[in-house]
Amino acid sequence: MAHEIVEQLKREIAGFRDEPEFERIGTVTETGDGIAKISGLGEAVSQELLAIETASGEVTALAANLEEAFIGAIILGNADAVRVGDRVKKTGAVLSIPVGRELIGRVVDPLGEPLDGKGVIFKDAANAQRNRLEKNAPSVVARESVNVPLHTGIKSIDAMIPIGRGQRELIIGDRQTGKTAIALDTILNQRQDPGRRQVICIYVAIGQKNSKVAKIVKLLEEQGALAYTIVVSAPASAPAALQYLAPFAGAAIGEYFMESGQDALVVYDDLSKHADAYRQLSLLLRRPPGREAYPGDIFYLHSRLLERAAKLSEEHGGGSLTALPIIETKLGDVAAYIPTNVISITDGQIFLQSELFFAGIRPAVNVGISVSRVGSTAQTKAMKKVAGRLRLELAQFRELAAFVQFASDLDEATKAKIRRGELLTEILKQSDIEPVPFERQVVVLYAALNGYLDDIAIADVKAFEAKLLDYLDKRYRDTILAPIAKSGALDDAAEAALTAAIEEAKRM
Amino acid sequence: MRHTTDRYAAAFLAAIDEAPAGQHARIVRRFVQAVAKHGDLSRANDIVAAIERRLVKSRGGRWVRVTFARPASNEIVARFRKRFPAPDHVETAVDPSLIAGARVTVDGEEELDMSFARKLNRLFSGSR
Repeated sequence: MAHEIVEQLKREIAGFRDEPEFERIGTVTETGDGIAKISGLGEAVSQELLAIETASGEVTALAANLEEAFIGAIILGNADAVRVGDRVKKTGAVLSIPVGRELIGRVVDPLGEPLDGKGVIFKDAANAQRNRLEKNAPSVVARESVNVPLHTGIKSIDAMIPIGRGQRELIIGDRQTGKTAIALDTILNQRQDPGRRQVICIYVAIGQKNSKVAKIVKLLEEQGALAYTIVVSAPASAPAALQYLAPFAGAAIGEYFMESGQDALVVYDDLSKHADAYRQLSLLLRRPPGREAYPGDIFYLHSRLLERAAKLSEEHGGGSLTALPIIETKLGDVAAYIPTNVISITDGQIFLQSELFFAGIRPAVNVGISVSRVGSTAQTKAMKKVAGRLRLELAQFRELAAFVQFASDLDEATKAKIRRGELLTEILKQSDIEPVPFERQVVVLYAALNGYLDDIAIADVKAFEAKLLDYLDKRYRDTILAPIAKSGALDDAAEAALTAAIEEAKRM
Repeated sequence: MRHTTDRYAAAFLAAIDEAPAGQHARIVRRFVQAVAKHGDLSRANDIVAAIERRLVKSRGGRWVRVTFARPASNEIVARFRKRFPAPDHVETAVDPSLIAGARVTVDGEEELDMSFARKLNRLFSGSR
């Protein structure tokens, strides 16, 4: 073996040709906090990778500010090794990441380096396809309307705030309201949606605690979701440069699957920390601060990222990239700078409320102010038919909720509406890590909205739901559940069979 | 606001150009005082180098730095100097990290690297 290696090296040395020629160089004139100021290299282009020759090897930097006499560069490697006077060369390349199916099941950093200790990702890394981190979003002609649902496994979302493949749906809420849990449930649910193409999921952790990322990876592994998921991690301990690049790396990986005709889902957890990392870099690069000290292009930063989510037309492969950005609000203030920006960019938002969370309504989705602007066109016929009245009934319940304490003085019609609202609220509750397949959601919501659960005490509703699903699973999996899952429709014959089955279950 | 060495150099040369010949010593004194006032005396060497570079450029020359891996003999240095036209400023330096050979830098922005260190780097980066 050693002999072979020596022989190979000998061949390489014998065949080595080096013709020195004049090349452009620059010099580091200032460095600190992960930023380098470089003089010279007048021909460098924005976002070009620069190679800084340090005493301990080459360190890569990203040209960010092109000024009259200097370049402001973001150091991507070991910033401590960079010294004033170090020579800098252009590479002629822009930042890119190796992409491919080999990434599935792996945890990588935003530059594509493995973080999970499972060895190299690409056997032939030099020939692996590379996608640029910054890339123009698909054009208007390459797109088509969202028309395939992306089921989250969460009843309140799939029924009232449906998400389509290629959509951008914001998950917004205070800390500890279950934002990540919704994103993770959505990832877990992708293994149980047999009627549609498998969705490849990319979870991008930005500025998260390493312990939280480790917990998420373990959960995905235990639940068998790592078989179709990629984790891109730039934890809180990573330099701001990597945190800034992480969502773009996630988008570049997602685009690979979208462009190869597959469906991909990318979760950006979260863009508030991403905005903070970009603010840090911008201030260090001495860009002028704007509102809340964020730089002037913070809107463009997020709009160009989220615009890369798309549903491509059949002529362009028919793939899709769905984006679920997460924003953390402070004390429910959705009018702050970053939340309003991202709300205006996305195709709707799922608003999570602390009050609901602490009242035991979990997931704590406020369905009154949550919307999905394009997802309803992608909703299955079965869900449309069943859940059409759900939003209205809950809205009526919210109006009457103030009178709940005077329930004994109310007329029968009002009492019935309150009772139905309480029932529906109970039905929509579900634990995290337990996404419900879409056909089961249809069955449960059908039973609740058509009055089959009206005679069951609220406290017993969850037990009956479990009993009904168990009964249907054992007796009618092939005749009721599987056809709904496959066709996405609930025709009259299926409805009649479902009605009969629910009544049977109630009698048991 | 902190001034760049280039700005100091440009201001100094403009002031010298505008002043009558008898006033040059006074201009130099005033310039040193101005640099001290801005707290930039520690960068005096860089400022002087910037002034020299501008002077060379104004005469149509280039600022050439030849770095050898080991101290070169006078004969080699002289041969190098002869290769550049008269207005060019040629200076030499020694950098053992080059291992062998030499590196020529023109105006701090263009470089011809004929060092052994470069060859080794290219060989290893090519075989990765």
